[in-house]
Amino acid sequence: MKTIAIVSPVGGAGRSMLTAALAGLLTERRHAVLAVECDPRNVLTFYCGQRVPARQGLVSHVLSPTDDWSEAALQTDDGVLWLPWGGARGDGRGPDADTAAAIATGLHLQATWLRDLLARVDLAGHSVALVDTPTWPSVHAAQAITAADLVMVVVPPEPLACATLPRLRSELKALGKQAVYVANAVSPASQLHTDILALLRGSLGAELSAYRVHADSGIPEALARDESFVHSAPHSQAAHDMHGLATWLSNWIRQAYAGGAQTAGGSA
Amino acid sequence: MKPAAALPKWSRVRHSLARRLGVEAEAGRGAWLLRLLFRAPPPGQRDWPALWAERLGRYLRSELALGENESHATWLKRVFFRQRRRRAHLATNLRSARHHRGARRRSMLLGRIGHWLAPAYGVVGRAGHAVSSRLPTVPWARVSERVNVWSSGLDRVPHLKPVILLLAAMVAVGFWTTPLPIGGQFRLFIAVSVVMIVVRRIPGRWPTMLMVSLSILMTGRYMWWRITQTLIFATPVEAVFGYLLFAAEIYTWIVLFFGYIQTAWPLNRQPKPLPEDTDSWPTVDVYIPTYNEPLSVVSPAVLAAKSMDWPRDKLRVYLLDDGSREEFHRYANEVGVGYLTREEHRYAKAGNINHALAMTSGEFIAIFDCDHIPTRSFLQTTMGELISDPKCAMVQTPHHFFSPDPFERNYDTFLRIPNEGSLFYGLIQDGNDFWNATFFCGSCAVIRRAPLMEIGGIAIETVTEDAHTSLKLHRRGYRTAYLRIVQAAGLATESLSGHIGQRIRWARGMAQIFRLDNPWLRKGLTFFQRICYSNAMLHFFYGIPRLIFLFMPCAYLFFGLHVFGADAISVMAYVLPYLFVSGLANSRIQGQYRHSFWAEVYESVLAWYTVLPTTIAFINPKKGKFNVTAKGGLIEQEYLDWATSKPYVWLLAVNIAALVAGIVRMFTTQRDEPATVLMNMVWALFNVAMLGAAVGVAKEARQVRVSHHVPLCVPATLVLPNGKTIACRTENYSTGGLGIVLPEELVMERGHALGVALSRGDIDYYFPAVVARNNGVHLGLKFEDWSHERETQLIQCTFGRADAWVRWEEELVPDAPLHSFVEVIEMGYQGVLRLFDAGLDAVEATVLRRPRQSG
Repeated sequence: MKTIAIVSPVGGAGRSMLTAALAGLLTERRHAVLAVECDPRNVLTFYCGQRVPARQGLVSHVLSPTDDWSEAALQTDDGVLWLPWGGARGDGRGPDADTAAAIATGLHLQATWLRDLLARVDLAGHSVALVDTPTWPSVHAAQAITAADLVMVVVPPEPLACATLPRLRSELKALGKQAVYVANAVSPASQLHTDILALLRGSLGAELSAYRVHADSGIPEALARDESFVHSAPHSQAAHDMHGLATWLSNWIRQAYAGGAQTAGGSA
Repeated sequence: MKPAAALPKWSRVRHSLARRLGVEAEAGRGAWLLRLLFRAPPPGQRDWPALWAERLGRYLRSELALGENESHATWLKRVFFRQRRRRAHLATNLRSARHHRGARRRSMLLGRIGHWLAPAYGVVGRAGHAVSSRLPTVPWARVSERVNVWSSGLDRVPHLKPVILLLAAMVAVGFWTTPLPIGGQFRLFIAVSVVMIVVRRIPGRWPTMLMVSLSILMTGRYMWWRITQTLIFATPVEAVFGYLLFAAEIYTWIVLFFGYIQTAWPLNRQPKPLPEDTDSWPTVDVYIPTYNEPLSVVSPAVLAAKSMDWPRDKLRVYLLDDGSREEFHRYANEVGVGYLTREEHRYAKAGNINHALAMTSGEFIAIFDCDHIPTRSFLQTTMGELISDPKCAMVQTPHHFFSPDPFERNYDTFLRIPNEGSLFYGLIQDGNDFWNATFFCGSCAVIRRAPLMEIGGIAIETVTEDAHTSLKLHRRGYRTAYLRIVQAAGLATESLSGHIGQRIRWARGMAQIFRLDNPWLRKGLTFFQRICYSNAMLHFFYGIPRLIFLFMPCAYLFFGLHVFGADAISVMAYVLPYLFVSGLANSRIQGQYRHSFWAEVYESVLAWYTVLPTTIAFINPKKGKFNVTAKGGLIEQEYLDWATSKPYVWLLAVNIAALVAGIVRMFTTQRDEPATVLMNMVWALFNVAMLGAAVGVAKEARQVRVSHHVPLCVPATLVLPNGKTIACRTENYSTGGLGIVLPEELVMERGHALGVALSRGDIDYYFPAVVARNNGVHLGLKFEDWSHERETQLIQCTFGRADAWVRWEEELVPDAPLHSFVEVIEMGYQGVLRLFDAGLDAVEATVLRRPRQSG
């Protein structure tokens, strides 16, 4: 299984939205998709129609590795598997502060925890895991990056994103991770956005994806209505952009599998 | 009280009868009649007679246009007198027919015939498919590869080429002059045809060469036979007509052979890379000459020229305004381009450019007609050739038109059948390039200044200054090059009269060059350059031969003159092979750039109009005036351009009369030679089709346009005020406005504000706009805060894109001679119907004295 981490150096960049949308779109492109939430906010299930935060999920494994947590994954009608963070309690609260700190420490000590975990997941065909993360830097995002074959950095066209991007970029370079940068929520009407995009293009070069996702007020509306944005507004530019991005990712996954097969053949 | 007593009795009889027949007593007369003839069905079964009777009644009512309960009198009247109704037009609206292919195509001649023949066609098709699927497939592509390998192997043998050519010449002479009995000639025809049909399937250039050689052999054979056997005439009158026809044929042979040489090896040149160091790139002046065109037409070209990729300090754009308009001067200052105008206006465009040459200093000069919009990559594509070879004086690129020309519009063949210019820019120029004889075409070209100054600037002696200029450059030993990559696009001429006017100018100019600076007479050109130039000029002399061919069958059908001294059988044995083989060879060479038989249509339309100008210019080249091609017109009402089509209506009438005469002749005086009559009638029928097509083109289709709308299809993003986005495509562009096709209908008021974003590469440009019209999925936008800067951005995102026209050649449809023939005949048939309709309209308008609709 190939793993794609979806990270961002600023908050509110649209990571969870893109994770959910791309999971659906990649399933349409005949990939077995597991959407993983490596984010203690525990919100991914809202994108697949749940109304309450998930109780079980990745965190269950951290708390008691021996527990059978495989049932924590949900499956939606379109065939996407969702593995939320979990840990919600009956009163609507999450894990208490001590537990959260213990989890974070555990993650910090075991850098390859998520990678080992995902390695145990066996899905057929050109399968892919999309890992949603909290804002980088954080232990959770670091877990996802370690596990990833491809890091998709979501960049909103904001000044702060430009300011924080170089650090993330050098970190990814140091780790030797392949990265693709995707501008999200771009409004062509905004001169600032246009200028920042030009700046990003200058600094990132070919690593900046040609598919920039346009800003669309239909995206939060779709979440509020419990709909998939791509399906509820198929003619919107943002949906077109996401389709383009999904096709690019699908090609990347297939090539990664082909390349992997080749290197395996070469070493044998 | 007798009647009163009779009534109940009658009613009793009626009731009992009704019971017997199984009718309801109160039922109408129809039901009674039906039951008298057909028994009522057993219960639970369908009453077929009643159902059929009802259907028949409905059919009759609809045919006679009657309501449900009409009186007998009305029925009777309608049976004999048709209801007054509006006369429907016979000709099909081709544009709507195209959108309803399949269902509505039946309204067209071919559709109807095809419908009749569908069963037979299906059986034959299935049988053919069954047979071909059993046969082993031939790897044509591999055959072609192997031929290429052989030919390059043979190429390495020294002195082989001259030997082969010599042998071929000897064989050819033998082939041409060996007499054969009629049967042998027919067998030869079949053998050659089989070879042609097989070779057609092999891709590559050598098979093309083989087809051309076979065509030359068959044509030569025909020529020999024609010269030695058929120039025998009984009377002097016949001899006069016979030699006229012979002369016209000689013309076609020359053009055929020259054409084969000209297009023997299309060069397909690729752009050369530019030096790495941009400091070494030369300075380029861009000239955009204009005379009377509106600013809205010129502005996109200027802005696009300004946005071409070239070092800013080395690119200067000049607007050469021969109209000396203050508005243009202001505009040039606003957008920051040079403005040049002159006091006197001698020598039109050539004089305008020469005046500018004296005022500017760039090392290279790029020339664009004021409505040709260059892409950003124009200079980077063309300049590599000029920089790498100092002897190269000019690089020409194709003229591409994004709007349909009158032929395409009036027959709805746009993007379906290659237009008149396709052949020239797709094949002939590329063929010329092989012989180093690429012509300058007046626009979309770059010229080196030094050689141009050496020949005294753009030629001013003729009205086709462009071709004459390149002729002069070639005489001086300079090279020219042609890049078949569309790097600029423009508007086609709007109306048929404008189109004809332009062709008249070309024809006159070419005739002038032929007289004043004949390529054969002066020094400096190579043999093949002479051939290319003279073929270009000879091409425009087709008027007289074409008219001879259009009139010639009449000589026999009206007056019984034998203009061809041979019997029908031997005509078929020699003429058919020649026409068939050369037709196939030309179809192979010209393929997707000119479909078979369309040359005849194009030439037939222009023939009449080019005869006089070419003849006059040939006799006295100084006569004649330069006329500017009109652009940006508007046709509000459909109409038949009677003035333009008048000569064709006459020609058509003569040919139709000849057909009638032929029928009379066949059954009266010429009963002894029906084959000859029939042959001449087929010829006349072909002429009728050509002339019908020529007349049909004159029926100008409606063209509603506010300002000049340019078709344009690029992806765009609509940004609605509520923050939603819609991915859509643009449909057309006009100054300050954009037509959009939406993916689904959208409720939007006029005046609604929104934004549209277009992209150039990966940069989005945003344009605020308001809704000007909203018609289902077609949205018209009017830009707000329109400025030259915004227009520049828009041009850059649209026409200026380097990839704007790259798909040009992919859109071309390959030629299928038979299909093409059918299409041409259909056009002729539709043309005759259009003429008929227009004639009846005119009669109606005169007789009924209806006021003519304005327009």
